[in-house]
Amino acid sequence: MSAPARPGPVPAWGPIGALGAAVTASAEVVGSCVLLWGQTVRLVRAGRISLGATLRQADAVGVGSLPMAALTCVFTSAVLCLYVTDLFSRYGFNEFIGMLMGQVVVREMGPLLTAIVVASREGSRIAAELAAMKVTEQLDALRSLATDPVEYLVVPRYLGGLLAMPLLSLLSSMAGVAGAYPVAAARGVSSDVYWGSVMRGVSVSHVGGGLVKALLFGAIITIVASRTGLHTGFGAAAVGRSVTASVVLCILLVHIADFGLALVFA
Amino acid sequence: MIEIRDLAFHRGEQVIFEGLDLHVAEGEVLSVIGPSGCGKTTLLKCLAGLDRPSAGSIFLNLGEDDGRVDLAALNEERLNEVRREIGMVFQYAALFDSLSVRENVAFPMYRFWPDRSEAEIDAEVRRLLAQVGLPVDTTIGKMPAELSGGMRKRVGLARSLALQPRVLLYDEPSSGLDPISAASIDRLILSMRDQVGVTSVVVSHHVANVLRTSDTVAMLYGGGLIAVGPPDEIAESADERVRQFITGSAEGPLTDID
Repeated sequence: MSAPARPGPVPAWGPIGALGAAVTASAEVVGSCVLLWGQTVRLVRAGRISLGATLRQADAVGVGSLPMAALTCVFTSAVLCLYVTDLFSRYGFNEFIGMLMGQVVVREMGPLLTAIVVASREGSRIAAELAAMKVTEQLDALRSLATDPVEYLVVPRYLGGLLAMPLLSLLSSMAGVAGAYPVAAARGVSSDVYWGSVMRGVSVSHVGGGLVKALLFGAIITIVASRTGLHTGFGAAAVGRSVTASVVLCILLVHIADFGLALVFA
Repeated sequence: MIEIRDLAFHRGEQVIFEGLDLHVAEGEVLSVIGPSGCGKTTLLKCLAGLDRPSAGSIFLNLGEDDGRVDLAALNEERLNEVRREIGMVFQYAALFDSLSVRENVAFPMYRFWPDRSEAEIDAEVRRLLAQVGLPVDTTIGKMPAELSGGMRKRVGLARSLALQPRVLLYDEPSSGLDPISAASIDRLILSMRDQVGVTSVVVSHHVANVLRTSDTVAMLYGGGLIAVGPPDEIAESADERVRQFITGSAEGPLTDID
């Protein structure tokens, strides 16, 4: 007589079930990020801030990321300027090249590229640091010493990101606009025409919009990276997974937020 | 000092333990033994207020002023006040990697004694490092990565002693240490009891160390306590599961643990 059949796994619902599971998991992650954000903001409003730790984090995000963010903006702007100059000079629109570069870089490319660099460099650092603390029980040790890990670890990273990102984005954008000029000059656009066009095209509202974006991106990156680190599983492999998840989620959410803000500012 | 009543901990559908009743007298060393994965560390984390039990109570006597509190029923804010009475030594010390030995030991002092001067805190850190048997001058400025396993555990113990807790919880204090370092840690556990009068709960599966240092031994297995008593009584237990664990035999009722 054969053994009774053991109950098998619950039948999968195919692609629809997988999509549903992915949506549920994503909603759970985003929901816990929103909760962590709320908790962090409450602590900031209650004045539970360490100035020294915040400045150290701002230094890591800002000074540490500046060379890479600026270089990324310079080269991307130079490539864009190459295509734009070719096209515009064909139709005699040289006086609009600086205007276009200024607006695109200050409003869009500067904040976005800076956020991608910071998400990759600092988001991964934050996630790895907190994940390593989780797997080595340092988070439990903090709690056992009556210290809230969100207050001690997340608040300085969040405020450091908020302080550093707008300045970092502004400097990277300036580097980008300046980096595009030699390309335009090599194609026959004079200094007066290029910089005059930049000054005419870029307004205070464009700069302000870029700064607001950078501020939001800084908040997203620090909160998502912190959340991913704090929710790490067990073992060294979990640290690696957290870092990857943090970078992917940060970049994805930055793009979504960028699109939303572009719609608002447009 | 500590009274555990009908304590249960479930992780999802899985029952880690339930129906635990234990009493730890003031100044006593209670050791909890049991095979890997039986819930010893979870029990310790419940006692530290790091994990919240699914049911039951953990009463802690905080003396005449603060009375008796049930850790399982406190909110996080009140737990933080009570946690200064409970020190925990983690399995791998859990020192903060980015802080020096001095900063690790001083960490709880900065949190709870904001009015003390740097000189007072420095003197207290030095006293604690000497108390746990570390060479103060050569250790105080080092980073955790520069220390051996035994030294890390001693620094962890010094940090947990910083606020003069009434209760000390040790998670696998001998694991990963050579026999001599493990024996020194055992001596430290006893000196904390004898000199400081602290109540200790030790979680371990190193039977020889446990029998040497404990006033009471409890064995956790299969989600419940299967034996509680003085070390000599546990060593002579008639329960086959306890005997197998004590003798470390591969044959017996515990062979299918893992």
